Amino acid sequence: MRFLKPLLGCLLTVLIVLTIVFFMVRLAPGGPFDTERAISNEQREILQKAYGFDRPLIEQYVRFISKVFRGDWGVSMTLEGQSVGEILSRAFPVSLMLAIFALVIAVGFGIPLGFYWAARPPSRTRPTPSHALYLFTMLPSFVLAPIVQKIVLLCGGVAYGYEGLRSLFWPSLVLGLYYLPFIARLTQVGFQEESRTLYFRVAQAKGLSRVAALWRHGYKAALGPVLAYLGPTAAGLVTGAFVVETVWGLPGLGRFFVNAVFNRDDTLLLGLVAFYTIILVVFNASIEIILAKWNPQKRRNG
Amino acid sequence: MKKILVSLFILLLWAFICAALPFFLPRMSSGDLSQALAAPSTQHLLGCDAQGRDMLLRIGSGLGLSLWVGLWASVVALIIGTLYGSLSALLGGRVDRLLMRFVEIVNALPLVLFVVLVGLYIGRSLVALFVAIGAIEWTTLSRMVRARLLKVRGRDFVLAARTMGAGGTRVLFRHLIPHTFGVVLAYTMLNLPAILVLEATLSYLGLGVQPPQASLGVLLKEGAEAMTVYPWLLCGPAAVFIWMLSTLYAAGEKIRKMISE
Repeated sequence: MRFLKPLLGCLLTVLIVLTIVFFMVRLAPGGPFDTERAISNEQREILQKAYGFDRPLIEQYVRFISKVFRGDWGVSMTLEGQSVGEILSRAFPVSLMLAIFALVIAVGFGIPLGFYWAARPPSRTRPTPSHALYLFTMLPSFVLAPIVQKIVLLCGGVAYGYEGLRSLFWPSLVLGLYYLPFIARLTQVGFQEESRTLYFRVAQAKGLSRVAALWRHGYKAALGPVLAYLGPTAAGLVTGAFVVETVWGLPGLGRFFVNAVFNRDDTLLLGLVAFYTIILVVFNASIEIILAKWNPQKRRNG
Repeated sequence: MKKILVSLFILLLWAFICAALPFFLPRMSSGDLSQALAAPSTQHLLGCDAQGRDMLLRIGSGLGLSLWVGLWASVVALIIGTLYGSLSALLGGRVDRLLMRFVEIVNALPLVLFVVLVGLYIGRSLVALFVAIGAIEWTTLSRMVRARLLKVRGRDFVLAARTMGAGGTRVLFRHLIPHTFGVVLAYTMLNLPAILVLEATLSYLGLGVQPPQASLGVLLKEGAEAMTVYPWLLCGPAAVFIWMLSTLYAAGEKIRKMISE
């Protein structure tokens, strides 16, 4: 029963977004069949019939929604005969692994770093290394990616194309480095606040070392904001992945999206937006559930 | 503070000169093909691009264009965010909850996809670009405006204005919205770098500023493609991009501190 409400919320959100997206794409001026080459009216009618565009918009909408929930995403309009489902199942694993590796790098290094800064005894004279790290936030992936690519090439590595998971290392490093400082910073602030609490001092007084006391008594409260930040990070990783995939020539979803926009491949465009929406909404909802478990005080009512 | 101002001044001056130059010295800004892809030298400090255009000038005008788009996108976001936030705060109750729920939904979406969708409507022009960016960057702003208004709306001066016969719109625009200026300004400054990154990302993917116009994102893309052979095409734009972002970050932090004190 407890999980029913978030689930319904998710469904409603997805439904609303799909509705908005459907009408945005369908009502946009120009259409998938407005190519540079003129086509005769008969051909146009045949095409429209084939894709069901001759039906009333509402009927198209209902069909679209029901098909999405049945897992039938339609056929791409420009990539001959490939269904959107096929494209997704072929290209998404690459994008997903890229995002997961990037997230692991950002979280796996960001949290220890942030904790390290917070755990050191405070000193006024020593500058925090966070300033150096902050450089990475000013190096969005599209600036960093070509530079790293060049360095890898100079060192004799392979910096283009996709040959198994191995070739995802550098791209995901680039992607992860952008988010690492944010996560490190959030962790640091969280633990610093914990170090001012009374229970931290009590734990120290009872003989725990500074580091042990801070981690054992602080991690729960300190890492809450980091957990909450994962939602926006995931949304950002989608965009970042598009760029990195373009630079490295990876066969992920980024290329399909850009092409779908340029060629007005409406089914593919709709499919991709719908797909990402569902993923992100589900991801955000699960984070919310985890957060509620993590810190029951922050549980949202209603 | 002084350093930030000087840095900002140099950037703006550079962009301004490069924007004005075509009107006065048209020959300098059009390319000289004999200089195509020339390496940096005393004549062309940052080298030349494939059409023999001086990179110093191109980066300057790209910088100007990026800042221009960023500025207008911020204005659009500001207008939408303020109106939405104040509407939500003033209507209250169920409408308020519904509006804020919508903000949450928007926040959970892959926003770049939506910039592109808005672009389908108004074509790929500069106006389309900043309207689209503004149309997705308003969410946090609207929350802040709402929070601020909820705080001040019960104060005496609102009651006084009402007693003197001011209508709802007048109270909103003359008495309530001015109270949000501080928060709004600080947030807008802090968010400007994020907007510029978004613009550059879109331009990089080919979905933002279209050639022959060139923002920093377009220059970075061109540079990245030619980087292995002509590294100066990437180094210049990348350095300026980082410089611009760090200046704006620092300025935003300063303003935030000034306001919160």
